Amino acid sequence: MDKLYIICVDDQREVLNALTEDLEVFENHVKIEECESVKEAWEVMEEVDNEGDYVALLITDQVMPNNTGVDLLKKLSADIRFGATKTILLTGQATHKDTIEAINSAHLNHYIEKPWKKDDLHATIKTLITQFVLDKGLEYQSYMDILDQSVLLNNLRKTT
Amino acid sequence: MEDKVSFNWVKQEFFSDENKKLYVKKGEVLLDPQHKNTRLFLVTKGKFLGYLSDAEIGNYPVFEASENKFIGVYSYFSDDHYSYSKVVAVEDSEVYYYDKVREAHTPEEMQRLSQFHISIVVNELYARQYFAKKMAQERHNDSQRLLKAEKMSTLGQMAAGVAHELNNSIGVIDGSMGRLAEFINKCVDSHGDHHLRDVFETGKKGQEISSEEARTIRKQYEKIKGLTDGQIRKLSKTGIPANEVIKTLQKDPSTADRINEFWEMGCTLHDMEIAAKHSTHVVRSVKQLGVTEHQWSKDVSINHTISEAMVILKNLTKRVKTTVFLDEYIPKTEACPGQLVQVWINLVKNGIESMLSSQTEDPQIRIASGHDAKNIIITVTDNGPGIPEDIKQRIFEPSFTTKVDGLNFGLGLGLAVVQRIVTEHDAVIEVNSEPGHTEFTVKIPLIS
Repeated sequence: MDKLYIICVDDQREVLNALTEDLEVFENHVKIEECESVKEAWEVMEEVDNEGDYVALLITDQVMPNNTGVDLLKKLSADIRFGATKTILLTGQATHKDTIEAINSAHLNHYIEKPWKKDDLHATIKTLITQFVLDKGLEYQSYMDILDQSVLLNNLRKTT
Repeated sequence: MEDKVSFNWVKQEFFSDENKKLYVKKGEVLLDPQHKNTRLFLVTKGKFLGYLSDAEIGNYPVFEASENKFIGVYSYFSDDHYSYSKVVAVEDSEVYYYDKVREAHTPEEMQRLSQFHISIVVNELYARQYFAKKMAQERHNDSQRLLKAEKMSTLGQMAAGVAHELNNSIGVIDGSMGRLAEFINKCVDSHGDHHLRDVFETGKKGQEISSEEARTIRKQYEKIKGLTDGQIRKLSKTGIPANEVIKTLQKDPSTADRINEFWEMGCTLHDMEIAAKHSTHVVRSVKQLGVTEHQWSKDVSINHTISEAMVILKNLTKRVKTTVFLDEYIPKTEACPGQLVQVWINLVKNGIESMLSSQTEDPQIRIASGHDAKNIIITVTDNGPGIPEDIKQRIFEPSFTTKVDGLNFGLGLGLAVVQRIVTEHDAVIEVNSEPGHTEFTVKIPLIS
C-alpha cells in the first residue's frame, strides 16, 4: 500500500497539537506530519516525495513568520511533483486579498476559518483525500474507511 | 479725470487729515448698532472684525477689515445711519474717517467722491462674500474633524465594551480550568504508576521540542516493533527518548497509549493555560485603549506600556523580524499608560505595514527604550523604504495616509493621534528617515 501523507503547517504549537488531535481518525491510513514553518514543511514534503510516497493533503495556516501560507501554496502549485496534492487554508486572519491570491494563483481547494469545527474538517479532508486517490489512480479499496463514499460512487458512475 | 478717481486719490483727498485720525486699541468698539454713524472709516493700520449678535449662538463674525479697507459702509449709505454689526478692533489699529454731515467739500470734489462710491460698495460686497465663504469652509472642516474624532472614540468605546464582555467569559474559563487542573492533578497523584505521573508532569510543561526535533526522535521509535504510526508520532512529541521506555514498550506495546494519554493530558492543560493567559492579556490591553480608561498615573513603567503594545501586535510582528530592547533601569514616570500603548502600536504598526506593502527584503523592526538624565527615550526603527521627502512634512496631519488597501483593524489611529498624545505628555517626537532606515524617536521628560 502506498503511503499517503497529510502535512499540517502552523507556527503555533498549541494549534498544531489541537489540529493533529482532530486528525487522529485518519491516522490508521495516512501519515500525519507536523511542521512549524513553511521552510520545514517544504523539506518534509520533498522528503516524502523522494521516498516515493504521496503528499495527499496540505493544511496550512496563513500568517506565519518569514513565509506565509499563500507563499507555500503558490510554490506547491508551481511544482509538478505535487500536481495532485490537495490544499486547505486553515486560518483566522487571511485578508480578502490573500484568499483571492490563494485561489487564483495557487489553486486552493478549500478554505476553513479558525476556530474550525471537527466534523466540517473531517468531511472536507475525506472529500479531498478521496479526490486525490482517484486523481492518482491509486487502489482505493485499501483506504475505504477514510474515503467519501458519495464522491467515490459518483466517480464510479462516470467511469463505468 | 477718471484716473484721478482712484483709491489713492480718495485716500489722499478724504482720508489723510491728521485731525480725523482715530487710534483704536485692541478690544475697543469702533461701531455699535445702538449708535448713529455718519462716518466712513478707512483702516490704515491694524485689523477689525464685525460681529452680529444672535440670541441663540451669540456673537459671530460677519466681516473683517484690515489695512486699506473701509468700515461703516452700510451705516454710511443707509437712510437711518445705523450700523447693523458691532465692529471691534482685534489689534491696536488706526483709522481715518470722513464725516458725511460735518465736512465741507466743493461740489466738484463731492461729485468725484460719489464716483468712487460704487467701487467702495462693490469691494465691500466682494470682501463680505469672500469672508462668508471662508467661515463656511472653516465650519465645514471643524465638523469633519469632530465627526472623525467621534468615530474614533466610538471605536475605542466599542473595543472597550467587547473587551469587557470577553473579560468576564475568559475569567470563567480561566478559573474553571484552574479547578479542573487541580482535580486532574489529584487524580494523577493518586495513580499508582510513578512513571506515568512523571510523564504527566513532563506534559504539563508543554511541548518543549520542535516539530523538527520530534521527527528525529521518531526515527528511534520507528525501530520498536508493534507500534502504530499514530502512537509513534505522539511518543516523539513527548520528547521522552526512546531508550528510556523501550523495555516497557517491547513488553507491552499498548503502554504507548497510556504514556501518550498522560502526556497529552498534561500538555492540554498547559496549552489551555497559555491560551487563557494570552486572551486575558489581550483583553486587558484592548480595554486600555477604550477612552473611558484613559487615566493618568504617577508611577508608570514605560517598558510595561511597550510590552502591552507588543502583545496586541503579536500577530503582525511575527511577519517581520522583531526586536524589543528594554532598558530595565528606566525610572517610573507620570503618564497615561493607555495612551502610550496607542503610540507604540501606531509607530510599530506603521513601520511593519510600510515594509510589508513595499515588500521590503528581510523586514526588521526594533523598538527600544532607554534614558538619560532628563528624558526617557523610545525609538522605533525599521528598514523599510523610508518616508519620501515631499510627504515628511505632512505625516502628522490628521487624515493623512499612504495606505491604499488591506485589512485595518483600526487600533492604530494615525500619527496625528500620536502627535496629540505625545504633546499631552510634554514629550516630543522626531522622525529621521532615509531609504532602508526610518527611526521615530519619542522623548518623554523625567519628572525632576
